[in-house]
Amino acid sequence: MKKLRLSHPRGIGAWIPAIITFVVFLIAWEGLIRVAKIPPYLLPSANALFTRMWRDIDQLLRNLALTTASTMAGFFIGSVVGWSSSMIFSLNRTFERAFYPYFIALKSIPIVVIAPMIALWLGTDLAGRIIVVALSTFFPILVNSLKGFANIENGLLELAVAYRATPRQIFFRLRLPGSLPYLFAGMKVSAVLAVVAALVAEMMGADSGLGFILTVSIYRTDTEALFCVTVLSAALALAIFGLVVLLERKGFPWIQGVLLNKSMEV
Amino acid sequence: MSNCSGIVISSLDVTFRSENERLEVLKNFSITIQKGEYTVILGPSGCGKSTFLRILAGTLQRVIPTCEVKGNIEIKLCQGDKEYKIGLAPQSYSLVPWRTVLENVLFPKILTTNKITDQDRERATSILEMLGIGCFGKTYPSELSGGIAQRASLARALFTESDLLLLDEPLNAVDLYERERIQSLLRNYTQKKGITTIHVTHDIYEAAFVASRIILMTGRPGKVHSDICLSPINRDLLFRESKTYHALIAQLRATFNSWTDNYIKPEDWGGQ
Repeated sequence: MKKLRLSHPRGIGAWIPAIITFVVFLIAWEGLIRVAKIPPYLLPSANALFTRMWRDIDQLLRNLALTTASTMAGFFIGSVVGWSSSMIFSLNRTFERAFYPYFIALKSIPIVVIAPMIALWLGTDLAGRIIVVALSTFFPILVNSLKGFANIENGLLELAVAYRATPRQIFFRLRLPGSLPYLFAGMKVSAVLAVVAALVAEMMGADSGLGFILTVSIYRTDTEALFCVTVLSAALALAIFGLVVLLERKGFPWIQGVLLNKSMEV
Repeated sequence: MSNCSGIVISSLDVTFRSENERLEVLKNFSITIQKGEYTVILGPSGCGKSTFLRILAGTLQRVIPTCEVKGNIEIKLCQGDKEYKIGLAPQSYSLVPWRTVLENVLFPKILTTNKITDQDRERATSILEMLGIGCFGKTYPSELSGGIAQRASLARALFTESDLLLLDEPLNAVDLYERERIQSLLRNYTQKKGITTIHVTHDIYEAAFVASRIILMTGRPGKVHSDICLSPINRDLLFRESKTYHALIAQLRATFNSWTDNYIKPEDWGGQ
């Protein structure tokens, strides 16, 4: 029996348009610099950028590794704490009423304001940076998962009540798995925020990491180094985002189908 | 009423309340259903058929917390103090998206005990095969068509060895050929096992074929309009050709038509 497939095209074929766009972008970049004669301190050529990257590869990779470590650790902590908090909130409405408004208030404080405070209290070594990343990733995951725990289909709830399931069974076997699509949606938003937060934390006087290179290159008007950091941090954000997508597709293949069905209903 | 004789509902009023509106869904609704009867509740849309099923399933107040229920409901389907077990096929199918079709059939048991034996799996598989969807056991609900999803939901209702089977338009998305086959299967299966079945539909052909008794409901607020008891003949192809079946359909259609006599006719449009 042939199964109905509702998934996006996957494998190499799916990447071809993106690769073509990238090649065209590189050609346009080189072309623009040559035709408009843009000086290298404003916009280095792709060629110069890759040469520089190759020359400083050891230093760049060392700092990238540090940024990756704080991003991943903070992202992991933020996700776990965010999801657990949403679970506690949905189990106990009093908790939610007591804390949620303040969490929303905290959420509205930009990370560039929080980061110097954390640097002041905890320093700018790895622990401080991890806390900054965790704080910025925590909120989207909390808000999304909370929606997930509440958004159980009425029919499923009705079924559970008819089959005389206890509130505990309803929570662990319906609400908890039902919150996963929302958890992953929150994690995808947070993956990008995590890299931003790590860079900001490193810019608050740290002596290592991509954020540190960024600060130094701004002072020295070292445009090439600035671009190196841009490329690497974008790659890092993409990699973490990809990791979340991979985990979702391999670990919970049913989520894709649920999301597709939802978007078709709209 | 003896210890396990059936369902008695008397003077049931159900009202849905919103801020500035009261909607009477069921009014003075009384019915007695014997244990083992296959009762079809037939009536126009919005007459409270699904509400009646929710009352029996004990889920109404959970689904619509603002509703008011008055009257007497007595359900005795088991010996002694044992609580009766329900099999439920809701109108919206309500399959669990993170479980395969086979796991969905097993879900009532997964939900309440989480202990699934090989025997359970075998039984669930044979129910799926009986409903003609055995090959979809490992498929996720998002990959199913409406008719197959509905049959999976029905399989789940049949899996619970229930005392009371509640079916809310269980076959409306199933193709005609399969629908007729499953109607006959449902009737014979429940009769053999002695399961009290309440089957809600607005399809008069389905009602005439499966029922041992048809409760015809009026439009909102829902009341019992007529109560038709049918002979316990075997439901097979011959029955579908029989005079009894066709006479019953004609009777049901005539009743429905008499209700719509007062509606505005196309020729009356535009004040002509």
